[in-house]
Amino acid sequence: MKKIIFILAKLTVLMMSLQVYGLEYDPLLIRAQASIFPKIILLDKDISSKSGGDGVVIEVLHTASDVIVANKVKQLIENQYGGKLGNKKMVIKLVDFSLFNATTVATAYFVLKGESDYQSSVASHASENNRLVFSYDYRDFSNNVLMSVLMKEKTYIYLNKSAIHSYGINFQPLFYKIVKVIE
Amino acid sequence: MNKISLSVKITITFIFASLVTVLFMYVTLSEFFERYMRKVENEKVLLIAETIEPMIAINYYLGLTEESKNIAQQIMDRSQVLGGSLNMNDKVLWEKKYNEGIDHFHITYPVKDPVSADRIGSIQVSYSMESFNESVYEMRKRVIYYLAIMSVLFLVFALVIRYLLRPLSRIARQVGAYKLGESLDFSSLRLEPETRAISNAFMLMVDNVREYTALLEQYKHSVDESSIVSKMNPDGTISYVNDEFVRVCGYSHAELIGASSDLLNDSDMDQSISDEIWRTLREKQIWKGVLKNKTRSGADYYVKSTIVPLLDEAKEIVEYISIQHDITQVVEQREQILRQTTDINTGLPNRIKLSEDVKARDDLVFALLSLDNYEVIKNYYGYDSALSSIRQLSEMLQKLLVSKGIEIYKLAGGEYGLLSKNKIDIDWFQQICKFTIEKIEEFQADVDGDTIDLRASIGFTRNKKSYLSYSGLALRQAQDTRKSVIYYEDQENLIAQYENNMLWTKRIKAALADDRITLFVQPLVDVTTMQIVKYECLVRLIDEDGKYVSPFFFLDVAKKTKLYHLITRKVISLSFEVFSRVPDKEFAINLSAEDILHKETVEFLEKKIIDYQIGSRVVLEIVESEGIDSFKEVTEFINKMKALGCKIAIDDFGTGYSNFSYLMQLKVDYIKVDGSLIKDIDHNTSSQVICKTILGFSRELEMYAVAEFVHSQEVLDYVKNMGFDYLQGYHLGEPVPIHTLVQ
Repeated sequence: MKKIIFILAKLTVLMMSLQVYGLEYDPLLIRAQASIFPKIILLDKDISSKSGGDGVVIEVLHTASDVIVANKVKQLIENQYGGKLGNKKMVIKLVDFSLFNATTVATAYFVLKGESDYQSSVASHASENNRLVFSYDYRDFSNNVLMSVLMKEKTYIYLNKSAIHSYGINFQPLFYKIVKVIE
Repeated sequence: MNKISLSVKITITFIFASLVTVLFMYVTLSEFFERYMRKVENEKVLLIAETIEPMIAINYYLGLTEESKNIAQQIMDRSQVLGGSLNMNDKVLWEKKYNEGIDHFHITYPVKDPVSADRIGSIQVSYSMESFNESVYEMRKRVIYYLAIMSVLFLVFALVIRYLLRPLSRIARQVGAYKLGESLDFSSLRLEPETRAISNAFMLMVDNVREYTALLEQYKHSVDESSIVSKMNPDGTISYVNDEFVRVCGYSHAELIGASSDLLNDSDMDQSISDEIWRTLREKQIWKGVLKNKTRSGADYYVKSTIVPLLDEAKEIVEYISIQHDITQVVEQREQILRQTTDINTGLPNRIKLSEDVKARDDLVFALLSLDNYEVIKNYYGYDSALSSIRQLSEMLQKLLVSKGIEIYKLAGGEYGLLSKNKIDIDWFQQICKFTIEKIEEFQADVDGDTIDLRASIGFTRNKKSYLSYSGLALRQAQDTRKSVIYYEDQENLIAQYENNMLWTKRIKAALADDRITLFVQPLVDVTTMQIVKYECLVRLIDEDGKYVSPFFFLDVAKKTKLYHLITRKVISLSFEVFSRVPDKEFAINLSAEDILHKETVEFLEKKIIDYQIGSRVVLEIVESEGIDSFKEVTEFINKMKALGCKIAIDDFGTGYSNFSYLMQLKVDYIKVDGSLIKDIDHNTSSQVICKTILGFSRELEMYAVAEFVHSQEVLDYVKNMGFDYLQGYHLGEPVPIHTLVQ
């Protein structure tokens, strides 16, 4: 009986989580970002120097409450790319904002919703190391993240104009023709 | 074609060239512009595709498919784009259909992955050719306008050329109608500088033609006056003769024109000559040569002829022209000269010709060949037989020597001159001479069924100035020394000989004057008794120092002078005088051919025999080899002497060429076998065989045999046993002064 109650309780929590996810994250946008962000990593001309022994490492930073969304992002990326990005191995790591370690460097960072300080800390660490930082919400550009994807009547790739110089990343020129640069 | 004027030809050629040029330019320009513009239009479409492809690619790469479609759709904004499609990974993302009946370009442009550059799709664009077609039409219109203007210009240009060239036609008509003696007048023509230059050139040419024609007329006149000129048709009939021709041959113009050219031929002319002339002419070659023709009256005349075939433009013979010169007088003179320079008997060139030929030579080798027995043949067989022998010998010499580059001349009597045609090595010439002598000795002349052996000697020289005297000297020396060939080369030696002769001549003269010619006598022993029964008298000269000089040193010199006969007389006088006082002993004196042939000497001898009445004790020794050439005279002499009681001995028998029948005819009493056969007879088997034969022969003819040169006991013993009748030699008795017999 207790076991049944435990399972029911767990399902209830899960349902609640999905509800939260459903409320705060656009599943279509998450799906689009999971599809686009890894490809943008490959448009970085210096990608080879930014992929170490584990290949391309993407850290998905999230709050404790968004762990399921983060895991969903991981699943979407892994399902689409099968653990490889181009000819490189690709690893997706889920990292809680509170546990973010500034001593290690990933190839790119994908920040979900979270506190500004956390996002700024990740953005600062990434820009110092010339790493890409994607954010789920373009409005987080104020925390100095580099780019995001927005879906309106069509899909837009936003690039944070004020952060471009501090990141020092060299994209293929063509990339700049399709992104929307915003302040 | 040839009737079309130059101006028309130039105009037609120019128009044709212009049309070809215009057509070529039209085709080329059209092709060029069309290709160029098609390329431009293609580039435009490609540029469109190139422009949108990266955007499509990166959007598609990022998964922004709709954005890719939108970009592809944008190409339809261009008015010339009829339609297109976007295929990505074999899936049509976007497509715009169009009416394919419209003229259009179509291009397919690849879409590549921006990261891997792999082809991930393609863009197809169809582009209307309306603009292109309008451009091409415009371009062609302009080209046609341009070429039409050019054609008109070409036509005008051609007409101008024709106008400018028109004076040339008139010049050509005037020049074409020009006749010798007329003048050309171009004053009425419109002349440009170039046509004026041409007209002036024609005027100059006409002046030259007039001048050359006048010159040719003079040449013709000169040839007609100096030569015999005739022309013949290709079939050989005479078509023209000049006055000189008529004058020389005696026929009239009417008789000659139309007659065959053979009319004048000498009937004796070799047909091969006529054939050779016609063969040469039919081969379109010039024939040159000398012809012997007959005049109308049948007289011979000689012409030096040059016959030239005249050809038309097609190189076919139209006629022959013959230019001849009467050389009858020259030919007759040449024949006369030939007669004067030719030996009648042999047909060989004679001494006159030899003299001329030698003068013409810078360098020569000349040989004088003499038949040694010519006089004998003439005397024994007669003059005609001698001439016959000479003819036969001449033929043989010609066959032998002409091929070796030696010219043969017949000189007097039995003498020939041999002259090298070219420079010749002296040793080689000497070999030829020796070879000739050998061949002559092998040769036998056939005279009246008898065969005559010939003997000859040769002397030769390189000296042009004195070729006859020097070769004669060498010849005499050859004959004297019994050599077949002698080369007169050692002039110093000959000069020394000459000086020696002069010296000895003086000495002989002095000796005769001072009575210093004396005799030695050598005994001849009878084999059976070994007692002296005869003496041979041997002449000696006592020099101024009282020494006796052998005849070897002076007798040959004496023979070359008149002193020889004086010596003979002295020998006869002294021997007769001494032996008239030595009773019962025969004595022999030597007589040469010169003595026997010398009438005064023979008369002197006859007189002495008669005066002393000791003819039965006199033995006259004649050298075998000397008498043969004067056989008749020697025979007469012998008969005369034998009639006076003298005996005849043949001296030095076995050294010459005598055969036994010759001795039989001479009716000699003694044969004195030459010392060369006796000196080693005791051990020389050849000498023994010869001497046995001579002894057998002498017995057959009842002649006594004498052995000379018995110089040792061995020889003495041998010859005694052989059967000789008399012996003579140092072993039996050396020569001693004749006066010892009477002291």
